[in-house]
Amino acid sequence: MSLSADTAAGLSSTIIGLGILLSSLAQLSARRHLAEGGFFDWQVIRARVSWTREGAVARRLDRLFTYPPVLWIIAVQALSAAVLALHPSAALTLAALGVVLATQLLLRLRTQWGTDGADQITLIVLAGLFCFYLAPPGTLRTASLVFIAAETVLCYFAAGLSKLLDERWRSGMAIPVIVRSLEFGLAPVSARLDQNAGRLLCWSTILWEGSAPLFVLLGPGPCLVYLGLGFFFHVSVAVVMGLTDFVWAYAATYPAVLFLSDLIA
Amino acid sequence: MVHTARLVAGAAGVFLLAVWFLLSAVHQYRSGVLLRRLRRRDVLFLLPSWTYFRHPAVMDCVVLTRDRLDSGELTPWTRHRSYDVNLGLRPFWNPDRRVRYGVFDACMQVTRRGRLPSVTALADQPAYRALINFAGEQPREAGSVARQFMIVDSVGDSANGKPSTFFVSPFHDLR
Repeated sequence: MSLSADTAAGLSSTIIGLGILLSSLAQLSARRHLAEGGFFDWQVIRARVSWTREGAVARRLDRLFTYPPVLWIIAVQALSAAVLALHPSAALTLAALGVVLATQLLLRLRTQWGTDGADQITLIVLAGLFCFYLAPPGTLRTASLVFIAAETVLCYFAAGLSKLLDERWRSGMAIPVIVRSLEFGLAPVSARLDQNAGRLLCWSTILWEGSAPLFVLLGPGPCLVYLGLGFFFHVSVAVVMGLTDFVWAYAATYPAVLFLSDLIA
Repeated sequence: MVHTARLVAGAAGVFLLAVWFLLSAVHQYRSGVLLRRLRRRDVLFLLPSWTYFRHPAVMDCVVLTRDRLDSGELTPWTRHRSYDVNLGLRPFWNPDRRVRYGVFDACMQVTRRGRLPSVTALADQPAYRALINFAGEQPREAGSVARQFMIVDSVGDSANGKPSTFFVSPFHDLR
């Protein structure tokens, strides 16, 4: 299966745009936490870093990050993400990517806490795609997609290796512990997860994550199978653990991974 | 001219991406002086860490609250409403997920992984103040004049054993 660079980038743009749009709507829905007296009250958050606490930069950020002006950042992000998802033209996509990248970074500075792996992968996809559409057609565009793919492979491989080195994962304890937790758990699943099932799931996760480089090297066919399993994995994690954003963030990297696999083959 | 500008900008961008990738790779396995300095300054969380679930969340940092009424009576400990998630919708719509993650981060800072700090030492810490705000978001009963919060773990429905308490705050006036 052959995927051109433009097709891969277009697919990634659409998927990540949809994910960020949903995420932005969720942030707007939970906007009370950004308000005065909320967990993410700017008057509290700004004290974490010296240059947001005082000085010329701090004063400018105050105008942007207090409530309700901060909602405009999220709204602009949502609109730009919608444009990204529609992927109307290369120029508009580049503009939308620039805006979304800027709003993502601003919102990270604004909230400081609560960032997870999906946010990190999202930023990697956005940065890679921004470079793709900034550069003229050719090697630089290829390199931009390779960056996204390489970070994804690194992510899966590092995660798999770190789990392999941990006794709780090797013994099969880790997943039962996670699904018992309030934040990442689901009682009906937890009740059915015996020791053997736990061991099977843990080792499946270790082997699937750790084998990422291998399946990319084997070529587009095996890579597609691997990514299909990946999509199933992330959807399962969304259902059981509530990690919704991970589906969109990682799915957005898959066209680039497939592109890399085809390039190597 | 435009083509040249795009070429230069694109090359600079790709160079930065390459540096970012190298730092990402090294960051997973090494913790040298340079990386520690970078991490301290990384307020935008650009350095990814892909090994988060290596240590499964044995602890849930869950926040419970109770109020002191004007009669002096204390209400029962109640789990914060942000934890009341519609499990059917959660795979698609989980808007309070980010604040709960943030609360977990703040709890880790406040409890410092088991070393219980004095409240006076905590009073000006952003993490503690954020948790006071979080606790304050709970609906109030009639007559509530003050609220305290408690950080516990393992209050999930299928948890083994009783919750462990990490930290109990003093009462804070409700404005």
